[in-house]
Amino acid sequence: MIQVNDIYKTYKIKDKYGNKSTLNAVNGVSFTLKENTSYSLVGQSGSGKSTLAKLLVFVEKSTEGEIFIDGENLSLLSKDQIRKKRSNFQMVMQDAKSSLNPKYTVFESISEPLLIFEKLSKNQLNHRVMNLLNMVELPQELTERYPHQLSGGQLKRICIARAIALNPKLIVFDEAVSGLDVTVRKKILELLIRLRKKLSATYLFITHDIDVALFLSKNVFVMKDGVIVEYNQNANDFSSFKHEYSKLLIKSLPPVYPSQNNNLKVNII
Amino acid sequence: MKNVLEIKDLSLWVKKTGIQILKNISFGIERGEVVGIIGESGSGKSMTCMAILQLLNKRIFNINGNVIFNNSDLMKMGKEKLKIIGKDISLVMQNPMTAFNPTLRIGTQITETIRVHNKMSGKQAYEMGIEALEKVHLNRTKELMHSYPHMLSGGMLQRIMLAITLMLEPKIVIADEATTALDVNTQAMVLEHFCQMKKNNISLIVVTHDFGVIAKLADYVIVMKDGEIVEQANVFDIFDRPNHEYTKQLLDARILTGGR
Repeated sequence: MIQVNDIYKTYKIKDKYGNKSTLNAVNGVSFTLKENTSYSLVGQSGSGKSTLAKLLVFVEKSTEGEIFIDGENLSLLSKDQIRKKRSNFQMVMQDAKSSLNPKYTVFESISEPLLIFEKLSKNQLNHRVMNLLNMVELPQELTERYPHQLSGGQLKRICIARAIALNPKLIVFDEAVSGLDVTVRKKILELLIRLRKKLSATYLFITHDIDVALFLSKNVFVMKDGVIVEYNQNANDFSSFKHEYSKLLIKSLPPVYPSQNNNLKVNII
Repeated sequence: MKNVLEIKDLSLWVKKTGIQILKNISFGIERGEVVGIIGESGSGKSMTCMAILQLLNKRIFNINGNVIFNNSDLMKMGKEKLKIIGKDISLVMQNPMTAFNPTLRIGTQITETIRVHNKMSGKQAYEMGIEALEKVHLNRTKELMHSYPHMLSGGMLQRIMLAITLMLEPKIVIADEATTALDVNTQAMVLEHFCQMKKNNISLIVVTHDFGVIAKLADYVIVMKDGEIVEQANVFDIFDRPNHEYTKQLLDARILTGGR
């Protein structure tokens, strides 16, 4: 169980005249994520959702607030202590190409987390990597290729393989499917749903697309300006959203069928 | 009705490697009609737009075919004449962040565009620019004219692009993935502007990979794959009775939730 208590993140920024000020990227957020459950977090760009993701996997340290994982307060730990716990929380970034080392082959990329955290013989390592490739449905012939020789969808699958390699308790997907072609996107989403059945962990999917959020999970957080404005635990239907901002997001979605052309009118802000 | 723009048998090769990028693209667009071009990356959607606007380097590409606008073939026109055509056909690009010159103020870039096409003083052009910005519902226009592109958000820049486009009163607007990089709410706003263009009898070519945008705007849809048109039909036919396997695949790849 992951418990987040009143977390804040403030950045120091400079405006165009060089005046210093502060930016509250995450402004007092608390929630609880249960085991074996998946959650979605929706928000516009600039709403602080990526910052929140980074705080959850301790890439950034929060300015205020606490994060408990299985009852242990991790926000008190030092950097080195966090590093030892890193296998418990993993993250899949938006840009797969830049999150993989271009000098590593697929095999090296996937085996990197295993080598750091576990002592394995060559045979065992080989076995584990092949297993992971199977899990993300990639052919084994790819192991000796480099990132530039692979497509966007394949790279994304390798990132997912790296994240699940150590059986983490929490996996955060930051915009896991944006920037992919529509057919590839559908395949990755279906893969994520299959993986969820095989691996027990807490999943947090961060996205700007409310359709993707609902496709992946029934528990949807809506975030705006660093604050969670709505938590919908049964988001089967668009009508179950109550907050004004969530309704605006839904209203902004383009129509499904052309005949709705004239009924849909969004106020120009 | 007669077509405003007609593309006949447009083919495109890379000279060096001989790879064919576009294969016999033909379609026409009527006045006030919206043609949607849909396809995945690498299908040649953007190249079609570039070829129509004669933006491709003829030293690198071999181009065949005709692009007929106002009874004249754009393919055979000289550079000077094409400049005049530029007033009638506008392009809205995908990434507003890189479409502007980062070293010039927005105002300079707007007035520059006006003065290339119309003979008027700088002051007149400035006033015309402010009027254009107001038309796309932007506030504090004077401040905007004085700011640099990096100071503004993607949605704002995209709307400034639309303002520049509309200012010259074009007959045809080509929107190449104009809403892809935007948030849902900003996208809805920009799409609303496109709807208004349609009402003002401007013909639109909308390039996208999103069937939502097609459903909102298009009258006629062209589905492209690997440089070829695999299917073209009325929007309703595409949504109700897709013929080609690939169109069906694309429609299946949509993610629809929330009881839609």
